[in-house]
Amino acid sequence: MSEVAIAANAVAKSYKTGESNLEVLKHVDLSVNTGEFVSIQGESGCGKTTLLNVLAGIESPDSGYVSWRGSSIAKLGRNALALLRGGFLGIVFQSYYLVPEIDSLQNVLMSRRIAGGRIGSADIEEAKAMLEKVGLGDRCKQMPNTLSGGERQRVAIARALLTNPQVILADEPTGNLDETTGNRVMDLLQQLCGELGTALVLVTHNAEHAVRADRRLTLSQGSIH
Amino acid sequence: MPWYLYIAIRHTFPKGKRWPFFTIMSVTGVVLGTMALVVVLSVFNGFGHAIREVVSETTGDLKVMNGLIFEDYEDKIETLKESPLVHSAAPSAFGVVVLQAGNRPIFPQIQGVDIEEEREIVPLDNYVYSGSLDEMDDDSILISSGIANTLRIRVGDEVDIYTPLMIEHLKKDEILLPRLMRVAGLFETGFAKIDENTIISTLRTMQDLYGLGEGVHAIKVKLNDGVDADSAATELQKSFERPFRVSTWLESNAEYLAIIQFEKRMMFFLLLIIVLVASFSIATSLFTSVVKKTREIGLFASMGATSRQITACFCLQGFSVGLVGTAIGYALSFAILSMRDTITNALFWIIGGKEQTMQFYFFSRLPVHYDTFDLVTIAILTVSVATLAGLVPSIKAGMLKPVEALRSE
Ligand SMILES: Nc1ncnc2c1ncn2[C@@H]1O[C@H](COP(=O)(O)OP(=O)(O)O)[C@@H](O)[C@H]1O
Ligand SMILES: [Mg+2]
Repeated sequence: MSEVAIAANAVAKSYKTGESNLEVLKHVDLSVNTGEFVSIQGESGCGKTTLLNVLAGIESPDSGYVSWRGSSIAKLGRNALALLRGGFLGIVFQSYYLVPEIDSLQNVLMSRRIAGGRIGSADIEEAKAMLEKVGLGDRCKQMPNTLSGGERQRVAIARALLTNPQVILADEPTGNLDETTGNRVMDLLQQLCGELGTALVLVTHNAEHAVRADRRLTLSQGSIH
Repeated sequence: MPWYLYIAIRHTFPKGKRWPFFTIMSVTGVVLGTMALVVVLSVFNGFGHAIREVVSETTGDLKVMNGLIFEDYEDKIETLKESPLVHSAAPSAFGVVVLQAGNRPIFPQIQGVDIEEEREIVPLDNYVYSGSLDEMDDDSILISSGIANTLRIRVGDEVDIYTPLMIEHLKKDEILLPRLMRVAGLFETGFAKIDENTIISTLRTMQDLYGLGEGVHAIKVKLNDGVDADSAATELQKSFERPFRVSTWLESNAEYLAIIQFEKRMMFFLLLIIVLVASFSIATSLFTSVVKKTREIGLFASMGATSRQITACFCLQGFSVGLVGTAIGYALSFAILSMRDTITNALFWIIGGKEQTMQFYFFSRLPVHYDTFDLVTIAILTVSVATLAGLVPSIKAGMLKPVEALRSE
């Protein structure tokens, strides 16, 4: 019953730094089913962010290809990809990136504005409900700079989930948070993705978070183990 | 509202917060530029208008001429007066004579008019500031203020008038003596071109001086209130056969008005420099903003924003700065111009010389005229310059690679 939501097929990626060529991803095969929760661990600098960027289509691989819902995105141009990405996946970054000039409700709505265009009262209700779900129902009007780190990351999670994406890519979402806050944010992310049936690809340093996954993978030496 | 417009507005004018530095600086630049343009050009237009009013008042609205001398002017005046457009019409003859007072000769323009008819066209009585029109007869003249001042002529003085006709007589070995004339009044119209160097005689006298017989050079026409001079000229032309031409006062004073127009254009281009300078401040601050917002740009891209939308987002910031700056600039300009009396009085209070200045310009207050075309042009121009200034940084923002944007610190 479960089909593949997102997959990397023999993906390789290297960076030229001066003379040398840094092979970050050598041969990565990865396939994540709809609703599946996969965690990826690895040392700092081993290429986890690079992998997520390639999966998100933000960066293109040197060889191999990435497919979304079974079709390759290799041939798509930047703008076609951008349009597709808005409705297909949500990204949660380590440093939450909220727009400082708008309140938390509007920040949550940004994903839908970009993916869907016009915002009606129904969207606003949904965004409020989403903020409610991440425990910030009473913080709609608050500006980002008045929120704590954990609260900001929860706003970012609500934003990523508002477009009902099939996949959430989370790049060390608790990396900037203290342990207790980090655990709470992780609980929330896992719970919401479970409820909504969203696949979750979680890159983390935290072994406790990694073990919660349906499948626990490690990235080292440029490939997945 | 598309997201890029929403973000553009929120970036530039955040809700409930003070305007960011970028906004304050760029908007101020645009405000100053627009104000300079609107205030100066409106005053210029005001002067232009005041001058046009004076010119049409002193010369009549239309002139009918054939470039030569014609005698059947009575019929033509009748024809003209039958038209519902025409208020009144009067004959006139003109030329140059030599006027000698004491032993100083000058060469004034002379206009021979039918005093009674002329009064219907030009407010002659208002212009005469010394002496009286009622004293006018075929042996007297009116002298403009310019001549009166240079030659120190007063009402009741007598002057000699020499005409070109004398040269004709000399060729035939005859001698024509200068004509002695009494100054019946001194006048000032407010139109410098006339006031500098004009004398007015009766039509009869002018015809004698120039040997015109029963002929005249032109018929001056005053139109009824609210009648457009151009269309009236076209309409009235139908009653006259070539070579008779009906021309407007605008045409007759074309070169004079062209200078005002030219000065205005020069002013416009000079002041445009302020707007251009303002556009540079928009460009630089938008560049800074793009650099500061790099990660935000990466975020938008990761959420599915196309590069064109990102370019639009920043371009619209330049546009909204232009729009708001222009709006504030207009509001301030109108405020300043409506308080111009207070402002000019304050200025004169500081620098002095109010009486002389006002007298020199013949205006009791600073004239202002709002020209819709000018106002619209200025608005379109400043807004587009502001938008164009933002274009380069905006394109740069759109070209940022999402990965690099996201990885930037
Ligand atoms: N644009 C780039 N140019 C050169 N090297 C890069 C670039 N981006 C990433 N790298 C290098 O690739 C490696 C993997 O980076 P990254 O994927 O961010 O690691 P991780 O997320 O696992 O810490 C690092 O050594 C980093 O220095
Ligand atoms: Mg990383």
